[in-house]
Amino acid sequence: MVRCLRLFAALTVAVAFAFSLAQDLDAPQGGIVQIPLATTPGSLNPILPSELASAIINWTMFSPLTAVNPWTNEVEPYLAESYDANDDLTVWTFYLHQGVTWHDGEPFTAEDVKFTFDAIRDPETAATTAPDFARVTDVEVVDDHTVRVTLSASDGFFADRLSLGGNEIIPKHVLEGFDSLYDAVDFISRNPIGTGPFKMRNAQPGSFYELVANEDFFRGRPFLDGLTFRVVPDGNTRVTQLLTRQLDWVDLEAPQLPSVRNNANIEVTTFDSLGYQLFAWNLLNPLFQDVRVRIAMTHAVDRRSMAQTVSPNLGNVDDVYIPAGVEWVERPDVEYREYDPELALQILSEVGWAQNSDGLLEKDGETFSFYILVDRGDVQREQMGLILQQYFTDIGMDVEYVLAERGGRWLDETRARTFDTRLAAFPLPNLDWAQRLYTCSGPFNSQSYCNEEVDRLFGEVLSTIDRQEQSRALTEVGYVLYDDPPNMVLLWRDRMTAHSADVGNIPPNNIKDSMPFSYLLYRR
Amino acid sequence: MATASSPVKRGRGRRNQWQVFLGALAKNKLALFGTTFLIFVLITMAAAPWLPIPSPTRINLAETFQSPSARHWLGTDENGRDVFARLLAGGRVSIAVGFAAALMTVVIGSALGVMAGYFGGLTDRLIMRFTDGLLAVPVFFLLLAVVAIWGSSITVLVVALGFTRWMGPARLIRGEILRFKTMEFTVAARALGAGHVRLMVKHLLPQAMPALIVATSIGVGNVMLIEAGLSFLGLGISPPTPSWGNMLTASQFYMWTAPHLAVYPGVMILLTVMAFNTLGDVFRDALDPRLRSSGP
Amino acid sequence: MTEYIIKQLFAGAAVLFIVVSATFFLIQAAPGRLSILADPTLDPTVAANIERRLGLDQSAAVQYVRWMTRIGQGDLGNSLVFGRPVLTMILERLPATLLLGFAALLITVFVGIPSGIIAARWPNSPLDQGLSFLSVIGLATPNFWLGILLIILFSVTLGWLPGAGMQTIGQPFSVFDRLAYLVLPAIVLATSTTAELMRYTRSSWLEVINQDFVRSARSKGLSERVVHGKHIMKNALIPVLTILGLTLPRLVGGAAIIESLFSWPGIGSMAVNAAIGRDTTLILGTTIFVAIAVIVSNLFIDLLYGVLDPRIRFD
Repeated sequence: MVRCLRLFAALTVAVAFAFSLAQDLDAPQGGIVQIPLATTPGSLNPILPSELASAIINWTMFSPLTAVNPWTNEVEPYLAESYDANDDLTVWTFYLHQGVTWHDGEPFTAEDVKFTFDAIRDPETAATTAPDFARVTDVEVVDDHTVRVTLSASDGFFADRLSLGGNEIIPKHVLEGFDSLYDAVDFISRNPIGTGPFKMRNAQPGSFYELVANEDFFRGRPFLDGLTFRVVPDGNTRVTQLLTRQLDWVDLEAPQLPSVRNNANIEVTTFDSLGYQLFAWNLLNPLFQDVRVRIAMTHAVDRRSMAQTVSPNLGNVDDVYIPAGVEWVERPDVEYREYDPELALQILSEVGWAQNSDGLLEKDGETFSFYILVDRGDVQREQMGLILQQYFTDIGMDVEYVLAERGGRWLDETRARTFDTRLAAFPLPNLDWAQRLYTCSGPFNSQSYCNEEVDRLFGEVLSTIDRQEQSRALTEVGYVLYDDPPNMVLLWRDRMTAHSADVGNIPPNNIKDSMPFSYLLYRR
Repeated sequence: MATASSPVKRGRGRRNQWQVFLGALAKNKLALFGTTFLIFVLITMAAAPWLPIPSPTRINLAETFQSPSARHWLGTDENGRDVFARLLAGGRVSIAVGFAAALMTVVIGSALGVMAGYFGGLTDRLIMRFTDGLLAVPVFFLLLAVVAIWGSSITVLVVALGFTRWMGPARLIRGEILRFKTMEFTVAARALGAGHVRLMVKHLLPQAMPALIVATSIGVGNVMLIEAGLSFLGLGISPPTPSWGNMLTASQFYMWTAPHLAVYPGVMILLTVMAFNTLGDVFRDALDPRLRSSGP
Repeated sequence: MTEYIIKQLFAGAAVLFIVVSATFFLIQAAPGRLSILADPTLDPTVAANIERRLGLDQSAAVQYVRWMTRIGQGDLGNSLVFGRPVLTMILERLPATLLLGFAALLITVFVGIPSGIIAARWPNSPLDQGLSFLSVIGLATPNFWLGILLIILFSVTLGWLPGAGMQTIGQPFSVFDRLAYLVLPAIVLATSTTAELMRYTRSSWLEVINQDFVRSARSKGLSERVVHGKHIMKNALIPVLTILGLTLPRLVGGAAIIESLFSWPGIGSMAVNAAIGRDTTLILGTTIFVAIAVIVSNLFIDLLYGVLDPRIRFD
C-alpha cells in the first residue's frame, strides 16, 4: 500500500509539472505534427452527419463562425469578426472577416454562410446540427460580409452553438452545382475545400491524411508546415506510436500513464473535463419515483473509491451537475452525499423497504429488482457498471448488469425509455446541453425527469446573453437538481493528453476541441 | 479406394481401443503433457466451489492490482477481483463455448456429411458443392457482422460459429461414410430391412465416431482462438461473464501498469488449445491412422 | 475443361447468393442501426432524415430486392456510412491487403513446406520433434496476443521496427521502409498457416514415402536425393496445393484482426469497422468481392493441379 501511495504521489507531480496555460505567439515556423484518428473519417464535408474522426480533421480545414478557445473555454468570434443580437435575442447579425479566401483561391463571402445554413436546415441534408437551427426562420445576406439570422423565439445560445462542430462554413461555389451534398463524393472523401488553417494534400482513406499549411489563412499562416492524421484504431497502439515517434499527440487514459512517464521526449497535459459520467434512473419506473430512494442509492455507493479506481489520480466526484470546466458558472455549495450504507438502509426503510430473511430488500412482497444498462466500448463505464452492481447488491438489491451494443439495445431502450437504469457519459460542451438533458421536454431527457423549477430557470438562461445572469440561474439549477436528483453523478474525470515534448502550444484540452486552434501548434 | 478389408479394427474390444489410445498418448510427449494439464485444469475447475478461493465476481475496490498472496493466489485485477478464481470461471466459459460450438459444427457437419455420403448422386453433389463453396467465402466477416449486430451472448457465438465452421467436419465424415457404405454390415443391415434413417444413424454414424472425436477435439481449440480474437475486436463474450478471451482483452488496457494480467489468460489459452490439438492428433493416430492425412 | 470452370463458377455464385442473402436478413432482423445513427444525442427527425435518404425506412424485403438488383448488375452499391462506392473503397485498400497476404503466403510456403520436408526426412529426430513443438505452439497462440508481444519487444523496447502503419508518411516510397512496416504483421499473420502447412507437408510426405512407386524407385538403386527430390516431392506437394487454396480466405479473415492491431490500411480492418458500424452494404460487398477472388484463385489452383498430375480429370 505504501508503494502504491508513493507511486500516486509521483504521478501527481509528473502531471502537475506539465500543466501549463501559456500560449506562445512568437514561435518558430516549420515542421509537421502527427495526430491519430480512431477511424476513417466518414465525411470531409463538416455539415454532413459523421463521427469523432470527421469532427477532428474537419476543424483544421474548415472555419466556423465562432469557436471555443481551448485555453479559456470561452466562445470567441472566428470566421465572424464580431456578432451581435437584438434585445429579445431573435435577430443575430454576424460581421464576417474580410479578405478571406477558400483553399482554391476563390473569395469567401456572406453567400457561403447563407448556403451553409440553408443546407443545414434542409431535411434532405440530414445535418446533425439541424436541431440547432430549428428556430431559424430566415438567413439573409445583408452585404458581402454581413449575415443576419432571424429566429422564431429567443435563443441566448445561438452563437455558442455555432462553435460546437458541424456548423463550419462550406464553399457555395464548389457545392452548389450538386443536387445533393452527398453527390460531391470527391469533396467528401478526398478533396475538401475550406477556409481553415490547413488544406488537404494527400488523402489515403483508411490510412492517413496529409495536410499542408494554408499560406493565406485569415488568422495568419500556421506555425507548422503541415498536419498528418493517421488512422489508428487501437488505443494502445496509439500510445505505442507516440513512444516510437510515429504520432505526436494522443489522448491518454490513466492506466496508460506509466508508459510515458520518465520519458524525456513526452509531456503530459491534464485539464478539467467538460463532461461527466452519470447513472440515470428511469423515472417512469415507480421504483425510483420517490426522491428518498434515489438519495438512499446515492449513499449506498462509495463513489470516491470508484472514481479513484477507474481513473487513478484523475477521477473525482461531487453532487454538482455543472462541469468544473465551465469556469464562469459559480458552483453551488452543496454537501457531498457520502458513502454510508447504514444511512442508505435507514432511508430505504422509511420508504418501506426492509431486508428479508435472504438479505434482499423487500416491500409489499416485492424485491428491489432492476438492471443497469451499459453501452459496450467504454472501458471505464463498463467497469463502473460492475462496481455499482456490487454496491447495490451489498445493501440487498437484486441487480442485473446488462452490457449492450451502443447502436443496438442500449440506444433502443434509451429512445423508448424502457430501461430501468443506465450509465451514460454526458458531454457538456455548452450549457444549453444541460437544458436538453434536464428540462421536461428536453430532447435528451430519456429518463423522463421533470421539475418545473428547473424548466423555469433554464428558460431564464436561454432568454439572456448576459453571462452573469446565466451563471446565477445555472447555480440555482444546481441547487434544485441537488434536492431532486435526476441522476447520480459518478465521475468527474480530469483528462490527459500526451505529446512529443518538442511540440509547443498544446492547449489544456482534448485533441478534438483544440483543432480550431491547431494553427498555433509549433515544433521546436 | 473402397477396401475389401472388413472393419476388423472395429471388432476390437473397448479395452483394446483404450490401450491403443494410451499407447499413442504415451508416444506423443506434447500430448501427454497437454492431456495432463487439461485434466488438472478440468479437475480444478470442477473443484472450484470447494477450494478456499474468493468469488470470481466479488469486487473489492480496496484490493485492486494486488500481488499474489495466500488469499489471492495470483493476485487481483483492476476491480480487486481474484485472478485465480476468474481464470477458473473464465476457463469454464471458454472451454464450454469451445465444446458447444465444436459440437455444433460436428452435428451440422455430420448430418450433411452422412447424407451426402449415404445418398450419393445429386444429393452428394449439391451438399458438397455448397460445402466447398462456403469454404471460399470469408465467413469470418459475416461472423463479425452477425456477432456485432446480434450481440455476443454465448448462444449467439455458439450458433454463429456452428453455422460457419461445419465444412471441415462435413467433408471428413462424408469420406468416412463412403468407406463404410459398401461394407458387409451395412449391406446386411439393409437386407434386414433397415430404413435410410436407421441405417444412417444406427449403423453408419457410429462407424464415423473416430472422425467425429478428432473433429471435435481440434474444433474446440479453434473456437477458443476465435473467441479470443473476437474479444480483441470487442465482439467476444460480454462481461461480466468472464472468459479467457475477454480477460486477455481487458488486460490490454492495463498492459503498462499490470502486464502480468495479460500473461495468465494468454498462457491458459495457449496451453489449452495445444492440449486439445495434440489430443486430436492422438485420437487420430489411435482410432484410425487413415484419417491422418485428411485434416479437417 | 471449360465446362468444369463454368460449373465451378456457377456453384460458387449460388453459394455466395445463399450465404449473403441469409446474412442480409440476419442483419435486418436484428435490433439496432447504423453507427452514425447510434448517437443518442442525435435528433430523432435528423435520424429519420438519414434513414429516409439511405432507404433504410423501407421494409427489409424492398431493401433486399433493391440491393440484389444492383448486385445483379455488377454494382456493389454505396457504403451506408461513407456514401462512397463499395468497390472503390475495396480497390483503394486492396493493394495493402494483397501485400500483407502475399508476404504472409510467402512466409507460409517458404517456411512451412521446407520445414515439413525436413521433419519428414528425419522423422522422430530431435529436429522433427523441435519443429513439431514449434508448430503446435504456433497453432495454439492467439495471434493478436503474439502481435502485441512482438510490438512491445521489437518496437517499444528495442526500437528496431515500427509498431504500426504501412509507411513513413511524408517520405518518398522506399522498399526498405515498406519492408520494415511489413515484417511484424506478416509474421504474425503467417504463424498459424505456416505451422499448419508444415504439419500437412510432413504427413503428406511420409505417406508418399511408403507408396509402391517410391519403393520401386529405391530398389532400382536411385539415390535418396533423386528419390526425395523428384518422385516424392511431386506427389507429396499436390495435396499441399489444396490446403493452400483453403488458406487464402483464412489469411483474409485473419487479416481482420492483424490489420486492426497494426493499423494496416487493408480490407480486413475495413470489414471490422463496417461490421461494428453496421455498414451492411460495405460488409456484404467486401464479402462478395473476397469470395469471388478466392473462387477464381481456387480455380487456378485446380488447373495447376491438373498440370502437375495428369491423372486428375475434371468432372
